[in-house]
Amino acid sequence: MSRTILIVDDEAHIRMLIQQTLEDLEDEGVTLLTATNGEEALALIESEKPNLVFLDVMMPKVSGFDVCDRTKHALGLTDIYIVLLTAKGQEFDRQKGQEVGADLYMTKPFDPDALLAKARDVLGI
Amino acid sequence: MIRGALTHLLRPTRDAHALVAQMVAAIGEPITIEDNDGRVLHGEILGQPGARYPITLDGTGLGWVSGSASARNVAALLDHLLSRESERKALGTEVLHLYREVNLIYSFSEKLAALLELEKVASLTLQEARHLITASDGTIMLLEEGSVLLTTLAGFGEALPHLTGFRVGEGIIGAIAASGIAEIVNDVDGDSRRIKDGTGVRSLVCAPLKVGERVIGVIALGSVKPALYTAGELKLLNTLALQTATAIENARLFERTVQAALERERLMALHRETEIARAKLESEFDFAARIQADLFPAEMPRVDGYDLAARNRPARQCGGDYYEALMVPSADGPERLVVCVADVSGKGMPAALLMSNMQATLRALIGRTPSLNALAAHANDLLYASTSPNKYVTAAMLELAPATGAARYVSAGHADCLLLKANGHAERLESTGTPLGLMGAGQPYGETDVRVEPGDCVVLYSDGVPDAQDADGAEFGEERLLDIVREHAEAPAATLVDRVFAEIDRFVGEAPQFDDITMLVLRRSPRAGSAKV
Repeated sequence: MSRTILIVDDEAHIRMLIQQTLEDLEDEGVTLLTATNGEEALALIESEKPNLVFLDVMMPKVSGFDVCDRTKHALGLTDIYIVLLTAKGQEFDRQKGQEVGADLYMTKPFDPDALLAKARDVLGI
Repeated sequence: MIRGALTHLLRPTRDAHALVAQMVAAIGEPITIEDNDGRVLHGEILGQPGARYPITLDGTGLGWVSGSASARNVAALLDHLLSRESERKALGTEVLHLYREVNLIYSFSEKLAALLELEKVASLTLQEARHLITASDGTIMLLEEGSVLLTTLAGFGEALPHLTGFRVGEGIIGAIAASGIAEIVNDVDGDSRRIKDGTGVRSLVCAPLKVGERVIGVIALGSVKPALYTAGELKLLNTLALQTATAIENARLFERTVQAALERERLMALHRETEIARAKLESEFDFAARIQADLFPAEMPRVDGYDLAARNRPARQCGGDYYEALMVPSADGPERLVVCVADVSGKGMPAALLMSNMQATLRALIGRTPSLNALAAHANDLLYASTSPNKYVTAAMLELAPATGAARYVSAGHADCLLLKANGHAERLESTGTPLGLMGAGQPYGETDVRVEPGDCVVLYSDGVPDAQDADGAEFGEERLLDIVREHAEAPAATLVDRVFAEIDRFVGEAPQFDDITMLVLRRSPRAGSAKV
């Protein structure tokens, strides 16, 4: 069974860092996909149905909350594990996170080891 | 992973995959790409193997491109893409490492801010440093203020934490504490500063803990196996050291503040206890003073043709002075007046206790002895029997037949007193025996015959009157007393007493009263018509 992780962030360096963090998983058969905005993310979620999404909250137009909400509710893809990424120092609306159905949230700067461990845990590797 | 690099590059999700596919399509001939193990990564195994071109990365062959001569171009493209990918990966690894550092410093600052205990600050620092700097050993040593000794606060591993209690300037770590400059020592054994019976640590990275320019300690990480610490690791350790030093300084300040607060609390509690004890004692003293005040005559006897007044002012709540004035019946004639001023040795509560003893003795004896000197002898015997020899009482006593003015004066070692005649002549009333209770039973007491004539004034007092001192230690003196008595010779006895006390107060000023002051005045009214106008 192929496993896929989708990385969504409008900032290129964050995408690259997460990719780099998770790169070792590629050798274990995991496919890493990236998206630079909310629309792209939703298209990939619908077509690729990734197992895990690292999703930035603060994105122009379609925010991480919106992507999460549509995935979990409109698309009904409740099996997709969604980790919201929020910037440290910014007030994170936990209640909204819960409402849109996010499974977890992590703050940036993220701890790469914790992020990798979470990915392994969710994918069961 | 150089081996997997080719497979990795040609994954369908990679841009390289599309690029290679495009090139192969453009060539329009069958091309096969396979790795070293013969796995086909692109195209199909050709029936007629053509030319084979190696795919290399940094001189290592990773696979082959086979097909027509054009396959050479595909191999060249792959070489180029692999090299690019390898650079990207190296850069990515570097950036990720920096990101880990940023993240560590970020979370370290947050965690530090919550800590106020020295040991916890030190442990956290070592624990965080270990995340990014490989080390078998670590230690944080502090320099106590005003000391040159480095003492271990926290550590891990087998070797470094045992280093403790050495001087700044001693060994490599001591030298770094002295210079205040962080260092990498990758060859500890070859370093001339190394102490011979060292730790077994082969490589070391060490940074001073500084607050401003002041070194307060050092942090060192080391490896018992040879290691190559890098400038980046040194920089990171320095960054951590800077934050830790500030946190340690804060923790120390906090500890000191807490200690000071505890000490203040303890002193306050002590003070409260003392205050309670003092208040209790004070109230007991007040009570004793009230009891003692009741021992003095409530009022002076009224004797026709005479005016009597007395006052006592103790130096503390309770005093050792005493005065008495009593009318006593006489077997062979009219009532007689006995007056007395007594001064007990010592001051305060012990003197007050003896004074009450004296008062009881006098009251018991007055009027029950044939003469005043017999009374003195008897009182001496009783007091000697009931007190230790260093406790004694001096007393001036006068027994007067009011009608005639004939009187007898007995002084048991008392200070000289005064009889001011109506004509202004002063007579000293001197001692006629030893203090009561001092010299043993059977002491003889003499008697002085005194005539108190109209206008005469007898002044009995304790040595607190002439001995009253001002702030410079000058004494009030008998001369000054005599002058005041002369000046107010015709005033009522109470006025004279008031004047003397007022003059003593004026003379003494702010100086504290150190002795009890007692004075008794007995004035015989002048004969009618003889009063000065």
